[in-house]
Amino acid sequence: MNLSPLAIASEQVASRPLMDGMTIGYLCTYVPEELIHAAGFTPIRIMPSTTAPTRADAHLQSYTCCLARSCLDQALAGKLGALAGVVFAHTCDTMQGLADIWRAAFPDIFVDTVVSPVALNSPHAKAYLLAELRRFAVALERHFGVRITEEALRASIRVYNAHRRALADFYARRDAYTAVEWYEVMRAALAAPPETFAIPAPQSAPGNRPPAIVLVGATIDEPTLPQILDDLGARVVADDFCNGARYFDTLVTETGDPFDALATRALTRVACPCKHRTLNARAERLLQLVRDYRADGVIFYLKKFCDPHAWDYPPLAAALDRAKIPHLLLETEQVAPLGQTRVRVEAFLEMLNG
Amino acid sequence: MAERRYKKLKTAPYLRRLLEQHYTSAKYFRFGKPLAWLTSGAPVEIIRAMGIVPVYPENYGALCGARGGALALCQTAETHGYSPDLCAYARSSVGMMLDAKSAPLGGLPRPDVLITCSNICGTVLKWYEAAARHYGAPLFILDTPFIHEESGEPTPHAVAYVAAQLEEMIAFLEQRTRRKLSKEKLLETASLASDAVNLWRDVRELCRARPSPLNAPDLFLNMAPIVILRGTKECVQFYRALKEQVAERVAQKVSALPEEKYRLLWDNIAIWHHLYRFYNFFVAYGACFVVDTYTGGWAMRMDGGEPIEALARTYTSVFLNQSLQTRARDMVDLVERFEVDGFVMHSNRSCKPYSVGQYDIRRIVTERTGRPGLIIEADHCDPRAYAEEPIKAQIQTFMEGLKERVG
Repeated sequence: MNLSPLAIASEQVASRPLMDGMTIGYLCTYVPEELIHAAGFTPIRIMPSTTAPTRADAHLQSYTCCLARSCLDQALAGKLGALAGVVFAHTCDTMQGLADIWRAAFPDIFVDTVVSPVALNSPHAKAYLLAELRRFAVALERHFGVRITEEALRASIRVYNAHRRALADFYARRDAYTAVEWYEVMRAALAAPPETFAIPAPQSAPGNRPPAIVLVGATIDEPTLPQILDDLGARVVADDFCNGARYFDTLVTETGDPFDALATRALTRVACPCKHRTLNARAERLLQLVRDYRADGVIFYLKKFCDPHAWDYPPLAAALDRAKIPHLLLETEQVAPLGQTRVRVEAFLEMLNG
Repeated sequence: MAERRYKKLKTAPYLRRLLEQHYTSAKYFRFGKPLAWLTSGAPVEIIRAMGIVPVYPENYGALCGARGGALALCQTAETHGYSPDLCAYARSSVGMMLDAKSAPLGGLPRPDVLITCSNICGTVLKWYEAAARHYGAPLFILDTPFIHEESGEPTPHAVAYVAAQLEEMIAFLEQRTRRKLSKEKLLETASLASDAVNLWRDVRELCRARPSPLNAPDLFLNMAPIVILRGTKECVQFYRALKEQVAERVAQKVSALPEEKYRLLWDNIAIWHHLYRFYNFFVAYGACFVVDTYTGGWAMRMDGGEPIEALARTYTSVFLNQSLQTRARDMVDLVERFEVDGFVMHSNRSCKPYSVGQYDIRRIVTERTGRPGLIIEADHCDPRAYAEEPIKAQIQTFMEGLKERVG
């Protein structure tokens, strides 16, 4: 697949800051980017590449997800540049193990995990997370000999709020972009310093009023599925991806104690399946998305060996069945197999069109 | 299950009776007491002190694995959309919920409350959410933050968080079961749990003797009471009897095996579906697993002091809630104290928190101790993930290497 001008631009943006030693990579949106930014670094989300991992096989079993394996592999191959640090947040069992593996493999850089709470519904989660965010801030300060001033943190919160607002605005204009363009914008948005990131104009107009799809999954890492949807004539009207709509959901309050504001956002934003708010929160939200965006169907785009999403699939599918909303499950490893995926999506779209 | 090729313990009928009693009384003779489903790392002291009957779906999963019923239950879950890559204990449990009639023992009794504790894995959160949806039973999540600190100590705010949740859990249970927790009863239960844990630790330590009085399958079978009956008098009595017998073996230099030539360490959960068959391959070489990391999970030091904070600290610090760096350090300690010649790690497809990081742990332990390690990929409960011929070949190569080193 040839890279579009937009994809090339996003790759250039992504590779620039990595070279200056002032970049800190992170692997999960529960990592408070604002604190890293306020400490003087550029937080960049480390995402899987499309190259099959080789070096990571010495550390991770074949039954771990491609996200873990590919991210580690790129680091071991020196493809992530001179990262000053890598920060994890507590989510799933694989990421938990990967954080320690990373620390063992790169003893000279800053590796930390923000052990964010699992029980978002606990009345004690807030106090705990506040203390954990403060611990993390102190760890950054001590390691790098910097000070995170309240003023700097407030400024960083404003920067990221502006970034999230821009992405929300882009989503509101999403119909003007193809699915591949949407994918590329989001990929670039998490790989660029927010101050210099600008959402490009649409390059090619998508077709008019084809079936409206909601995508659900952990992350979307490569453009095979968006390309298929563009080719076959379908619109992605909403998504529940960690590097999609979940990334910019909920702003951080700009007044009051900034740590309190960061903790509040983490606890109230749309939750990842590693976290618990209520039993049916994810199903309710998915049905809401389908209604709000008048979607015709839902595609679960799940990674093999991603336990939290695999666990949520049966109850989410059951909720869609009850509401008579068609859905399709695609389980992929690193790169979706083009032919097979296309055949299955085509059959699904035919059913929706029928 | 294949026959074991080494000595049976005299306490075996006692153990069987105890476990049968546990499952029968939980199912048929509760006398109106409420029933809780609990994860193996949950603070059962509080549950027992309140007169709530606990059952352990993980133990039930192991039982299904050992009895050969797990596969059918896993397949039932899979036909309902649960991925075959998910933990096979959990899949067996979901299969049992969907089709209790065809499950071993007719399935577990229906829970009145569900208590899941995150200290062993993330799976138990999703598993218990599924159970809560299925049974409509109230769910309490005890969130024990993972310890990445190389000190192995939980942060003060993590301890405070867990302690506050324990108070909340007590209030939740009092409200849901209309039972009160008495401080005296909690102290008494905690003390019984602590006594049993100490006895279990003593039993494990007795295996430092040459020859070792026990082999890993003995430890796996005899760990059941410390998991499911912790905090009861029966549990303490059982471990007293077990310790007496194991001490007697040590005094008389009775080996678990016909002849102990090599001493090994086992890492990860047992391969329940091929328990004897698998370990017999090692027995054939005279290799005894004198210690393991798994059953040591219930030989933790119970923290003293104010009971709620002590429970918070103890249950947050369990080994599966510790970094690979801490686990490697602990394994080095076991390798040295138990004087093992090598170690075998079960890379367990069903248990990511236990298995992810094993490749690094193997490297660290070998670097620090000079002992070789073998990694075997299988699954604690799903027999489909067990490829016997390649496993036999791996064992043969490893044991021949060991023979050259040790003689």
